[in-house]
Amino acid sequence: MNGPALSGRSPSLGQSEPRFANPIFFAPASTTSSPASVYLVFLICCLQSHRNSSFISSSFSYWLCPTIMGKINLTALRVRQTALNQFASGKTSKLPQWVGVVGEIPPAETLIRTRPPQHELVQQRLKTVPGSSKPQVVFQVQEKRRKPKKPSRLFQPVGLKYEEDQLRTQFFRDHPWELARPRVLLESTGKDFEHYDWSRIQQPGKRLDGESVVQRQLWLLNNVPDITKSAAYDIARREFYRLRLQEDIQRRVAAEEAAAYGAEFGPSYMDIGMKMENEQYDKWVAWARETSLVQDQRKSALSGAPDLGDTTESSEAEAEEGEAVTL
Amino acid sequence: MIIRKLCMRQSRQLLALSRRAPISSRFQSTLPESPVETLQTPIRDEISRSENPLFEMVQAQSEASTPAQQEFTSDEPQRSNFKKLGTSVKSSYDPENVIRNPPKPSQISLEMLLAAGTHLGHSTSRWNPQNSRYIFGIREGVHIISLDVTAAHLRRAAKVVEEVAARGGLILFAGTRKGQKRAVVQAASLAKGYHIFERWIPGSLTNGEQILGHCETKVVNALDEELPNFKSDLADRPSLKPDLVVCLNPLENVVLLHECGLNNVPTIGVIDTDADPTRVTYPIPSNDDSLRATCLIAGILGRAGEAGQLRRLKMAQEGRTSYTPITAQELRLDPFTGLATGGEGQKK
Repeated sequence: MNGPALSGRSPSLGQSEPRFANPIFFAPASTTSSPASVYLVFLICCLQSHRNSSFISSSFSYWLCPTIMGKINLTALRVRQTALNQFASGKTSKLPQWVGVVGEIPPAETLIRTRPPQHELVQQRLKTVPGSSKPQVVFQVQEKRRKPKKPSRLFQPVGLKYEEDQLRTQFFRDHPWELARPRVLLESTGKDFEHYDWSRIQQPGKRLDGESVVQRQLWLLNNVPDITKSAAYDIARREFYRLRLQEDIQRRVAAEEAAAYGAEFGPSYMDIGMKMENEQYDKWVAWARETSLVQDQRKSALSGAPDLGDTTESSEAEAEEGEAVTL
Repeated sequence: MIIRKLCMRQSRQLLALSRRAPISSRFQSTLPESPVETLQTPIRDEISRSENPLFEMVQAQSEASTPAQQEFTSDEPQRSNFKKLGTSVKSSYDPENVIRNPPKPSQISLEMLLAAGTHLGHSTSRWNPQNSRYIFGIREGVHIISLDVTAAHLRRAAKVVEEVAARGGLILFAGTRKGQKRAVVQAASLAKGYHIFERWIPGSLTNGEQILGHCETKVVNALDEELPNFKSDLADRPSLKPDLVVCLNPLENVVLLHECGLNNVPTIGVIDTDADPTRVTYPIPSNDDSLRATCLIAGILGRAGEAGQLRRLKMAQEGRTSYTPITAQELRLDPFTGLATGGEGQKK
């Protein structure tokens, strides 16, 4: 319905580095007889050794490191190491110019996977507490599910959830034709949200649409003390309906003004539809006249013929048809 | 119609047709003045122009022949007055702007990346699990790439491009998808690098003598001025290899990246959620299917290269270099016998 780029909050703004920084390696340690920790340490050496590790020859590390032997090709990540080794062994007489650059700006860690950010649905509400006179801001986090996550899904990304999603679903379920209206998907600077103030539903530079209702409702939920979701929905909806009515009136008045100044609008969709329908009716009337004429002629031709078994029935039916046609 | 002997029958008529004489004057480089203009005698007009301040309007009305034209010309002043009314759009999105005037690496912001759509990855079923580090979450069945990770990697890559340019390295920009041509060419021209917007010919690095052997090379000094004296020394030299390759679509350019690996060339690549990040030295996790996103990344890297080249030329004017220049003696050595030079064909 609405992509993440369109929501008021950008998905990644203000997101710090993943909180779980336990380095857990992407490829599992191999099943050889040596202890796994030795290999992990060795891999650390291989990965961290871009800066000053000419002591490990590239071929040596390439063939012995168990994670690399499998499927991961680290040639691109080790360009500096290879260049240093080639220079040390005399294959190249000169170090390339970029060796210093790659040494100063080493490539980022690629293969060490981190726990992805665990997104939770957070609700902000303003509630009056019995003790204090001022209402307090309360944050509610969605309850965690009882069943723990499967270990195989531990490193998979988590779905992004925002409170607007529920509101948006509700609004567009109630107003499905709002989805048929054209809307602008383009973001010019990505900073449109800076100009918006959802304490009122109309925003500069934004067309009034379903998203306005959703954002207005969210603002009400976050800023009005002890408001329920349905009450906020009703307030936002009512404002929206009022503005839509105003738009309709504005459009009608503009059309009337333009017509008064001599503008001519083409036939409306209703007129076009009625015209097409009338054409079909006329066609049917012409066809019916012709058919009744043919039937009359056939009847008159058969009037002198000897009686058949079902002539009475068929003639009755024809008579009915003829009446219908003449009507 | 009988077609037999048509020419014989009809040729007399064809010859008798009054055809227009061929205009030979159109082949002249300068068009001769048309005789129509000479017929105009503006002497009377000049007098009336000086007398009548509304001459132009009168003239326009008198020139109009049909009533419709007259009406149109009579409404002209009202129309021009009416045009001043209304609003004027001040800031609007111009898709060309990111190509014509790309932002600098210091101007990278998350909003800019968001507006360019760099955060949109592929369907979750198409992901490469090696990219899990860069993925922020899942939205509507699509992986969302973390914008701060993209910004960090983009800044790092821009730094690398700038430093390589400052040391006189050859930078190759490759973007072979439809629509990436202009961005790639612009980035290469900013960074004084080289570009590929069509297919990478396999073997251009590994079999360079055969494929790029006919290409022209030149020796330049530290100020990028050509030194024609060394032309003869370049005849039997191996083809040049880039010092840095920037690839905007690594999925289609696997061969290029493989050859870079074989030739030990560092690479920068735009890695979507379905690409393999180990193919490139410096991955930039981003959407590679959006032209706006790839144009932005190419532009930023081009700007970084521009800054590096400026720095190098400024240092060269002061008589310093941030690299060890190749000497004339080294350049004159036979590359295949005796002391082999490192394949660097430029004197810097």
